[in-house]
Amino acid sequence: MKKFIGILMAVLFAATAFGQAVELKVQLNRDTPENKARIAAAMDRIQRFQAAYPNIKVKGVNIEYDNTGEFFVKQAAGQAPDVLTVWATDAALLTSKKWAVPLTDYVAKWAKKDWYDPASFVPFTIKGVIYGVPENNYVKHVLYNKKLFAAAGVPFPKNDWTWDDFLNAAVKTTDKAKGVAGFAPMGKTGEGGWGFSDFIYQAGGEVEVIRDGKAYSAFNSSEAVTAAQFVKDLKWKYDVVPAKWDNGWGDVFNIFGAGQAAMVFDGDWGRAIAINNLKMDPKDIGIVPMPKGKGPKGRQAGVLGGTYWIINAGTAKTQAVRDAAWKWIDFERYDESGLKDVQSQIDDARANKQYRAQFVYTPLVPTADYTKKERAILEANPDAAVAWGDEAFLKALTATAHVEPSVEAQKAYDPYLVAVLQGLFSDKNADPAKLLKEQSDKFQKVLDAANKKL
Amino acid sequence: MKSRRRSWIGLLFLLPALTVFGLFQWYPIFNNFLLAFQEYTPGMESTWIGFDNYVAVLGDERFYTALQNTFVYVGICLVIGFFVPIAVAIAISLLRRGKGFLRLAVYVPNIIPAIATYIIWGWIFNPQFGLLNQIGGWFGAEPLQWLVDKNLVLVSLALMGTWAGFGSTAVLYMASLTSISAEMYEAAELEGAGAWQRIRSITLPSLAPTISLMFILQLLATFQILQEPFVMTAGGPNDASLSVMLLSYQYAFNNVEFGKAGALGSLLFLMLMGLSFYYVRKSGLAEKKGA
Repeated sequence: MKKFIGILMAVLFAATAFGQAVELKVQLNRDTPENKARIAAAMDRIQRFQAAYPNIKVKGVNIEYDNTGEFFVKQAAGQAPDVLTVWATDAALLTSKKWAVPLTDYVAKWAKKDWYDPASFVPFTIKGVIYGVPENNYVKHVLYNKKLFAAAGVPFPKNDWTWDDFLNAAVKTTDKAKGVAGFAPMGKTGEGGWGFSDFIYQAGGEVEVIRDGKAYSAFNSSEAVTAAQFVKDLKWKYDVVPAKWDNGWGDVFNIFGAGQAAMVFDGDWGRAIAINNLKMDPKDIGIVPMPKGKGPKGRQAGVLGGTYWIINAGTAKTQAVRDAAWKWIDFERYDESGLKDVQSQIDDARANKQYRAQFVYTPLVPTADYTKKERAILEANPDAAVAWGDEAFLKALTATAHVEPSVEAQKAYDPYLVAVLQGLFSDKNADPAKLLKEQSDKFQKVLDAANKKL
Repeated sequence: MKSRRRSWIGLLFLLPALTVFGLFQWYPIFNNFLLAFQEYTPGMESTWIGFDNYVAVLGDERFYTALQNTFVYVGICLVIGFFVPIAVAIAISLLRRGKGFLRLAVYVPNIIPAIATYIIWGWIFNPQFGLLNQIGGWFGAEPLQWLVDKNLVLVSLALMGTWAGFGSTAVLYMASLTSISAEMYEAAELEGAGAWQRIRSITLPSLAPTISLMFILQLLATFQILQEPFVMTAGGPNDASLSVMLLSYQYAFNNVEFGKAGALGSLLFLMLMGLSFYYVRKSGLAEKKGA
C-alpha cells in the first residue's frame, strides 16, 4: 500500500511539474502607431512560439533599450523582459552588473552558431565567456552629403582614404557664413567619448588593453596624442567643426540632415533622423569607411557595435525560464519569419511615409543565404527602404571593425574621454598630451577597482 | 471631548496629504539613507557594505569639482538672481500705471515649460547664430562661446535660471509689499522723504522677513541645480558645469552605482539641512515667523 501511494505521489508530482507553464517575458517595440506592423508581426511570432512550446506562456513587455533609465526602473520592479536585445556598447556594464546570463553552454550546443561570423561574438565575449548573441552589427563609418561635396568641388571619398583626404574635404566644404561645418562630431556625454575613441583607433592607439587578465588604460600613448592633436586642429587650426560643438548623438544627425554639416560619423541609426525627420533624400547621402589615421600605426578603424540578445539574470532567475529564453532566441532565427520581420519594418515605414533607413548588417558569414535574401527585400522596396553600400564597401568596412573596451567602457567614454575632447575644443591652448595623461590616470583608478573584481 | 473629536477630524483632512508626502517624499528620503549603505543593482540581491559608498564618493575627484561648481553657481545666482526680484518688485510697486501688465509680464517665464525654456536659451546662447552674440556684434564685441566656454558656462546657466525663475519670487515680494501700510508712505512723503529714502527706510525693513525666507529657499533650490546642466551642457565642457545633483544622477543612471548616488544624495541632504538650521537660528527667522 505504502509503495502504491509512493508511486502515485511520484506520478502526480511529475505530472504537475510537466504541466507547469513557465512564464517568459519577451521584449516588444513600444506600443505606438509607428510600430503597428512590427508589434503585429511579434504577436504572430508569439502565437507560433506558444504553439511550438505549449508549456511556455509568453508575455510581451513594451520596452526598447534606448533609454537605459527606463530599463533600470523596470529591472528594479522585476518587470523587465527575461530576454531582450541590448547595445554592444553596454556589454561591459551589463556583464559587470551580472545582469547577463552566460550563454557559452547554449551557444556551444547550438547548430546555428556556425552560420555566424565568429568576430560578431567578440563584443559580448568577456574573458572567454559568451554573454550575448549578435542580432545586428554595424561598424562606424562616415556619412557625407553628396550635394555639399559636389558644390565644393570635392571628389567623393574612396574606400581607402586618409586623414589628409578627410581634412581636405572638411576644409573645402566648410562655409561658416552659411552655417555649414565640414565635420560635426559628437561633443558631449558618452557619445562624445565614443566618437573620440574612433580617432584614437585610427591613429593606431587603444583606449584599454588587457594584460594577464587585468585591464589597463591605454589612451596615454603617442598614438592617442596624434589623434587628440588632429581633433584639436579640426577646431582651432582649420575651424571645420560647428561653433556650437557640444552636440549629442541626435543633434549631429539633425545638423547633417539640415545640410549644416558635410560629414558625420554614424554606426546604424543616425541617418534615419536625417532622412525621416529632416527629409534628406537618401540618394544625397554617401557612405565610406573611416579614414586612415596618421603615424606609423595609422589604420582605418571604427567602433564595431550593434545589438545583442541577452538573457536577463535580474528577472530570469530559474533555469526553466533561462531555457525558455534561449528557445525564444533560437526560435525562427534566420528563417522566413526573420525576413517577414524586415518586411514588416518596411511596411511600418511606408505607412508612415518614411524609410527603413538604418544601416545594419546581419552577423552571419557573408555567403549566408539569409543575408542575400534580406538585401533583396531592401532593394525590392526602394520607396521605403534603403540598402546601403556596395560589395566593395561592405568588404572594406568589416576590415575596419574595432571592438570597444571590455571593462568599464561607458566610464572610459564618459567622463574621461569626453573630458579630453571637451578640453581640446574649449581651450585653444590645451595640451593634448597633458589632457590625455590626466584623464588616463583617472580612468586607471577606475580600472584598478574593477580589476579587483575580475 | 469635543476638542479631541475636532482634532481627529482635522487629522482626517490631513490624511491624504500625509499619505502622499509619506509615500513619495519621506519614504524615498529614508530609503535613500539605507541605499547609501548598500551595493544595490536593480533586480539583484543587495549587500550591506557599510561606509564604502561614502568613502568612494569622498575619494572621487569629480565630487570636489561638482561641489566647487555648485558653490560657484549658488554664489552667481545670489549675485544675479537674489536682488533682481526685489528690485523688480519694488520698481513695479512704485509705478502708477501698468502694474497689472508688468506683474503678468514678469511671471510669464514661469509658465513656459522648462524644456521650451532650454530650447529658447539654447538658441540665445548659440555661438554662431545666437541672439546674445548678435547683439554683442552690433557693438563690435567678439562672439562668446557661452555654454561651451568653461569660464562662462555657470554664468550662462545662472542667467537662464534667473530669467526663468525670478518672476515667481518677484510676485511674492509684490504680495509682501501690499501689506505695507500706505499711510507710512504718505507720512514719509509729507515729511519730504524721497523715493530712495522711502525704499531704504520703509520698504526694505518691511520686506526683511520675506527677504530672509526667500534667501534660504533660493539657497536650497540653487544648491540642488540639476535640470539646467543636465539638459543644456550634460555637465560640460570638461565638467565645468557638473553639479552635485548631476553627479548623483550620473552615478545612478550612467554607471548603475545607486549606492554611491544615495550616499551623495544623503551628504547633500545633511549639508542643506545643517545650513538651513544654522541660517534659521542665526537670522531669527523662526521667531519672526512665529511671532
